[in-house]
Amino acid sequence: MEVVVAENLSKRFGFTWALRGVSLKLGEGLHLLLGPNGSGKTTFLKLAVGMLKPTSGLVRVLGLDPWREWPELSKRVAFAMEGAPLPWWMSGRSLLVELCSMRGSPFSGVERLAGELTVAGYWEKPILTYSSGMAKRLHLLAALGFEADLYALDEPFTLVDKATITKLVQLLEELRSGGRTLLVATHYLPEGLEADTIVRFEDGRVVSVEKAG
Amino acid sequence: MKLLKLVKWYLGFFHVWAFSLALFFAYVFTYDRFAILEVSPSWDSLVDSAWSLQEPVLMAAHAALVAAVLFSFEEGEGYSYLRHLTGAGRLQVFAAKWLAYLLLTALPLAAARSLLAVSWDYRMLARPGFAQALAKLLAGAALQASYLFPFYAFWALASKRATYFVVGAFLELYLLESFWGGPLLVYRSHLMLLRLPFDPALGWLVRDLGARIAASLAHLVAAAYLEARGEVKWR
Repeated sequence: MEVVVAENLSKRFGFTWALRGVSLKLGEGLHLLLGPNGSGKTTFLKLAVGMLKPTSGLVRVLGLDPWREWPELSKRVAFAMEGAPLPWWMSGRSLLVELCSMRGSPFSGVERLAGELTVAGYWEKPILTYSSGMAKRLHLLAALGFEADLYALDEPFTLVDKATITKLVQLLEELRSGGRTLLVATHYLPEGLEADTIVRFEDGRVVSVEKAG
Repeated sequence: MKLLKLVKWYLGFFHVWAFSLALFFAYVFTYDRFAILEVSPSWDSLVDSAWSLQEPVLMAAHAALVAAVLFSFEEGEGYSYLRHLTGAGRLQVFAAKWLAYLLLTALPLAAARSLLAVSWDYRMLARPGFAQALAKLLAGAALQASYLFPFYAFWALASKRATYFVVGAFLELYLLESFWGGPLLVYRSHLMLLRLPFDPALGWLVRDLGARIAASLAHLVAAAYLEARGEVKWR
């Protein structure tokens, strides 16, 4: 089954084309979007989770249009984007409680994973006091703690320590074995991470798609 | 249900709380506490005598600040990212911001006037007209806030950056009673809806400010359109 389908997908910001005519079909499994900074992988992720509206072309995720049908699609998709701010006046835990309440998701999933990602040790404190690595782990928890069919993660391996990277690789593997689809944009390939597909981006285009095996 | 959760989410924004608390004190400090002597010691004093010349401008400034946080700042700084994660629909978000804005702008004014009257004589709390006068006041403040909302929401969305919008809105406030200023004749609408007897005020407002109310509605449609087509981006 195809989970993500893009046909001639393009996105322009002002005079700059961030993505140019990308066509791609990805099924279930773990898919890595690789490429240097500014190659278009994050823009592709944002289009896939309905944060941006395509300039032209189309994208379908789990059979739905992310831009038009986001309220419906959001029940099946979780994401973590690089550099997004967090409300510094809240504690990490109260933020996640609010998010769970608004998404209608149980808090138990978040609570379980909070221990594994070692967020539980500091999440009662205000976000204002977090280091960038702590904030990053909270971001990841806000995505991976939810039950979803597709997880879109933007640069999950940056800013975190080696132990967290090892844990993340293990978590991604577990999710993949559980039949979930993962779209991971990164320019760093951690040891032990086995992908079903590696999509290479360059200058807003897909330059190669390598399937495992 | 999700709408109420979204309203709660926006009410929790530190900046809007801080501005609302600051404006509550600003109202209190500008009222003439002793003016209450000049009217009958009833709860009507809430509506009539606890008032200051600065109040309409303060309320407009407050409305501009709250709109700046809910529409420019939220988008520009990227707090809309988390809201997007929850799967909220764009027009639902617009409605939630409107409700949060109404609560935030109407409550400090009503609370400040109530405090003035109660500090004068706490036994007023026990008078039968209390709830009615307070409800009238809240309704009047909410109506005035509703009138201002479309202008501020639209310009906050259109200007993108909260700072630009706030500077523009405050400059406009300074141009009171000009064609563009007031914003949009804030004194007249404020007086009609809050100071003068409430019941006939709507009729007068429509007659006197008909063209501006039409402009307000046009801004409302434009603001809803801008919100609906907005993408989740941050600096």
